[in-house]
Amino acid sequence: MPRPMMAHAPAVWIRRTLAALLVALVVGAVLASALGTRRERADFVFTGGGEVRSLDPHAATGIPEGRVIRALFEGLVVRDPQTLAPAPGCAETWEVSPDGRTYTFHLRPDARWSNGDPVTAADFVWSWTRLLEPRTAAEYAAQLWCVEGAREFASGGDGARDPTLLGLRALDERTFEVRLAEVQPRFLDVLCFYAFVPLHRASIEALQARHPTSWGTLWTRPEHLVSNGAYYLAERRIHERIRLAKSPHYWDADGVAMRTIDVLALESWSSALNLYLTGEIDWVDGAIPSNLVGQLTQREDFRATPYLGVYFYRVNTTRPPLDDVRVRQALSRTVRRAEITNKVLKAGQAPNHSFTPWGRIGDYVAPAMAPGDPAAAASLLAAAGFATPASKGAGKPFPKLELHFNSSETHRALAEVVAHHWKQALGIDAKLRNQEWKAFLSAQSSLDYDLSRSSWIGDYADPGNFLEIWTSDSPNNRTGWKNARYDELIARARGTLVGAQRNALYREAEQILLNELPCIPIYSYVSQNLVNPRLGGFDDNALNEPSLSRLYWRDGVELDAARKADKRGKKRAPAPGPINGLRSPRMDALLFDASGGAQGRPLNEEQR
Amino acid sequence: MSERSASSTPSWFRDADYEFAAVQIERLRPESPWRKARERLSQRASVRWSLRFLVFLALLSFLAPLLPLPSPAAITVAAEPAPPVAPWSALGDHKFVPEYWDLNPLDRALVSVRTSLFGKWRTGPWLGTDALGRDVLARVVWGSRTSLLVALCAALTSLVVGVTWGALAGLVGGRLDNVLMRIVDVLFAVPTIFIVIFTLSFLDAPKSAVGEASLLSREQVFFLVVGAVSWLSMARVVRGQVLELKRSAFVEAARIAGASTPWILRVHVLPNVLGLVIVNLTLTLPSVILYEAFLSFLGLGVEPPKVSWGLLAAEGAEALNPLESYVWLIAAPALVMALTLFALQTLGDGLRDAFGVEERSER
Amino acid sequence: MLRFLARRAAWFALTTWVVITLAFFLLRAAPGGPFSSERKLHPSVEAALREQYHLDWPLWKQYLHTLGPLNLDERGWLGDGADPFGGVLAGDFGPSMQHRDVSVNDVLASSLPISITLGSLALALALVLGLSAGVASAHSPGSKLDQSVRALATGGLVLPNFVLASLLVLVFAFWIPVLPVAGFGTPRHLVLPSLALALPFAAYIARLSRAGLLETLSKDYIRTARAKGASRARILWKHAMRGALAPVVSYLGPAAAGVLTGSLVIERIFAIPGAGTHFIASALNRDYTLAMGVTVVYAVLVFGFNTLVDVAYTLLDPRLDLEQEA
Repeated sequence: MPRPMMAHAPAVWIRRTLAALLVALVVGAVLASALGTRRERADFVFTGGGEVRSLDPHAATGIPEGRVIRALFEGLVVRDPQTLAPAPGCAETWEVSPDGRTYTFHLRPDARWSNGDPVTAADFVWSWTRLLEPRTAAEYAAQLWCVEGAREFASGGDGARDPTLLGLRALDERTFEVRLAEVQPRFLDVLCFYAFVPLHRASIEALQARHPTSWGTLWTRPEHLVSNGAYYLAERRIHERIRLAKSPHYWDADGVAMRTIDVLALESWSSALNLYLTGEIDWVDGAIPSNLVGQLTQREDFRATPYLGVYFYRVNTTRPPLDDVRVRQALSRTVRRAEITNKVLKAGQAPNHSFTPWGRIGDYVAPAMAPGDPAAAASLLAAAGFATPASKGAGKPFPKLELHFNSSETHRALAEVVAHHWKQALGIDAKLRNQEWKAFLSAQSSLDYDLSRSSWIGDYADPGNFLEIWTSDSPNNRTGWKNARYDELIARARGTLVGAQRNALYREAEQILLNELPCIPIYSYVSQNLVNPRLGGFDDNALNEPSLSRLYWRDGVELDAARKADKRGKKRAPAPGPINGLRSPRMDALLFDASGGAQGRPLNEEQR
Repeated sequence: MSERSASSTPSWFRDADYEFAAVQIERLRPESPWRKARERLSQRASVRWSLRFLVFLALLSFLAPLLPLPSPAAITVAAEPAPPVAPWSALGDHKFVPEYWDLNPLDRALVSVRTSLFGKWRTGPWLGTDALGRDVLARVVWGSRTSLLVALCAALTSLVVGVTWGALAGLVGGRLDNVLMRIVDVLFAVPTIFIVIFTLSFLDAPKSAVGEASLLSREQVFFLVVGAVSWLSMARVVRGQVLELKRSAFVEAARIAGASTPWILRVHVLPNVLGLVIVNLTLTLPSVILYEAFLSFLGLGVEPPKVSWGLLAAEGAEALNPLESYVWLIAAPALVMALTLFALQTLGDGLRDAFGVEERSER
Repeated sequence: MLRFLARRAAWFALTTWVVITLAFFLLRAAPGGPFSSERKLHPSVEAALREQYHLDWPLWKQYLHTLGPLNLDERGWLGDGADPFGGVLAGDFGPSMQHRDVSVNDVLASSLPISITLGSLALALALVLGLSAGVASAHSPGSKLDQSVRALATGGLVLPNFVLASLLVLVFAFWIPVLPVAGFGTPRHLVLPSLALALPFAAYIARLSRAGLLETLSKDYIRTARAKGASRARILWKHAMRGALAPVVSYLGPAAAGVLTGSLVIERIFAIPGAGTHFIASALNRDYTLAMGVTVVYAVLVFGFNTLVDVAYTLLDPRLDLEQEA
């Protein structure tokens, strides 16, 4: 149907509109970004990976969350950043009864919330009750089940729960008593974890009353969050940054140097590195891609410290032929662990010959498993009735194994190398299966795998933390492996107060584990930190938990001295930051005294 | 349709009119699109070279197991990636280890031919090695297999499903056309990457015993998914062209002259649509190859030790950093990828000109 | 026009429903759930979480709850008698299951403007770069300029965008340190990401507009205009542009969808807190509510933009009839 040919009018109109739209888009976009958020750089900027899952200490479970929460809140005891031993935090002193069942904590008189309220024993009672409340759905609640009445409280129905039956009591404003139902030798270590910090009851309840239809999470927003740590939450932009600002009410505010801290959420390690190299970030924590390890480990700003984590392969012991212990031993004894750590990972990881990382935790020394030996492994496999490269056709062919791992560069490279080892020494074909994270976990927990890549990170420095996952009823076992003697040893160790006896029990248990091998330990982790050399107060420890409140900027003199004292002989790296340093008021006062008054070094002159 | 038009031919229509009509149809009908296309194509050097390059690449990729390359999966745990070595300074050595993944029978046969032909001789690291000491040249050549196969699969799906769908909609028209095209619209609005993630997770189907093969491999999932989304634009384009042809003068004339529908389809519609289809295919292939790279970047790529260009590019992009650039790790896959896509584009351009298809977007 | 829009609205409703349904069932059917993790949750904790998010309900009830403004909650979470979750059709996507502090609406409210800023900037850049390149090369086809523009345009189409982005960072942030490497906040931060996002589309637009211009230039009315003595530039911009714009405009629909997909990569490389990051992460984490949110938003954006493009297209080419098409 021919339509009257329209004149140029609509075309001109549309062209103008289009042009105008284009201009508007560009101007709008630029304006939006310009007006959006212009902020000064924080005193200290770091990244530890992606966005934190939650700032609610009861809902959070991860390591990046922990860094932020420990800066915001302070529990009864905190870990000493150098030794990791429990040190006074919100509690100044405490007593433990001789039977190890009653803990009495004396809170600091000057412990205050960021709104000025005093921190009281009642705050702890309320917070811990909230933690135990099933509706809070806190993962770490189970760690408190050693408290009297806690287990019943957590599993009781809605009506059956009575918080007054819990062994938590505020004896007075500043005295908090905890009674335990079962002995927990490492109770203070447990309490260092961030789930056991106090929460500010009044603000949380008031907010919930005002917004009953909210999801009860409004209180974690910057405008509402009341915390008792060295910092308060100044700003939070989802998937971008969390800004922490120094709290004036913190009891040790004089010892805190950094006035503001930015925690960036970065998905990609490459962009974190790029930002670090341009001086936008002062500390990057994350596994370094294999391409760069060689280069970075030469630099003075790369710091690798033994880390409380173990990398291993789970073996599905319910599937033949993996149910045969000889097969598992053969697989384990052909993995060339030293080659993996020295040639593939290269960042300072150590081959693991026990399940306990680094072969020891504190005064616990782990037993070692049978050493790597391809010939012995081949004869083990032959004894199990399978053909090996040397057996000249005798024995049945070994079925094709599948090795599961979740999508990641490092896991893939490692799986390729291990499969290569098995192929070489035993002629076993392992098919590698790269799975996306949730499918991987689902397959692992439903025992739908042959071999599955795994890792375990300790919450605190204790062998029990690692060995307890292998008991038959542990939800983290996930190999189908059961051993009655092992279960018994672990249960006995759990109730033993004396360290030497407990270690002996753990040693015997681990020896069983290493003979039976429901898991093939591969290597022990190191923390991989890129740290601005100018940064002071950064303590390397096995949990990679430096205390943010102790950080400060060194001035030129101190930086030079520190570099001279560094005997590693690494390549110098740029040390951007305030050339005159940035120290806490207390450190400044000490310096001032030491240098004899006004002739001291210039203080707190920030020049970025 | 043919029955009706035949019987409705009025009785006064004389033989002479048929003749006249036949002459008119011949005039209206363009000369054979094929002959014309061939003539035009052969005139352009760039198209000839592109075609040669693509044929060479296809051969290389198909015959990869036969070539005296190192195995793409053979790991020599080295300390650092090694830079390329000129062929004249290190032609090769006798250290070939046949280390592959599950090859299909044909490839296995090719590998055994290779071993009998070249023995343990293999080429040197002409394009360098990666962080696990694997030969980059071998990986690029073997990687081309995945990338080209994914592309071909997508092409095949869009050919079979897309063309049928679009032609059906265009030919039948009316309500069916409306429904079919709206389905395409709806599918367009569903984010592909979402579908990819879930298809991948479903197909990690549980298996009950060691050694049992899983249902589908990751690559096959790719083929399915990428094919499943690449036919959409093809359907649209084909429908548009069919509609245009239906209304065109020479089809009208043929119909008036009493030609049967199959005859019209075969003589008029098919050749004209085919040109467009071929052009559209050459444009689909690059986008599929890039899509594979996108998936690899997100960590959803092929399973190791298999390789693809996308995986190599994603790994190589990591090596692009200010501290230490292992340029060859990114240069090799990026270059060969760029060349292939460039050749495909040139070929597509040439074909488009040859078939006289207008450049138009995918809608 | 009104009838066209009404029909489009109906199809839009259908599309949204299909997307919601598909996303809902795909998410639930995929192995693993929002609360599976490497360190397995205690069964009682997991049960409590499932109850909070109503994952203990039968599937049909969950579906209705997700879908619509239906008050299926007997009691809210932590506050009795409250209904904290309205459903997708009520514009409330509920709480995120992975980021337990925030609701999906919060996440979208903070990330979507950023993605739209970046996306529209990239589209605008693609149009400007692409059209100017197209015009430049159509000005004198076969010339050196034309050839180099065409080579460049093809170059933009042959490299994966992450390679392109990494190269841009290396060149403009390290070798010639003029732009920030990553981040968001100032206009300078937007230059590299929008460029990396725009280049492939600019390249395609250059090709489209060049071909369109050359074709229009061979038409009779252009010959008339030339006979009347109009300059070549004037002919190009005034007369031929209109005909050449049509394919470009119709390409904007797929281009917008492509920019959205491309932003998944670009946002990651440049650490931009946009919605793209959530797209992959939420699906991989089985964050049911967040994944639903981003998927629905994606579908709405693509559909809306395509409708806009169709309207613009008919205005450019009056021969096309919207009502016929719809």
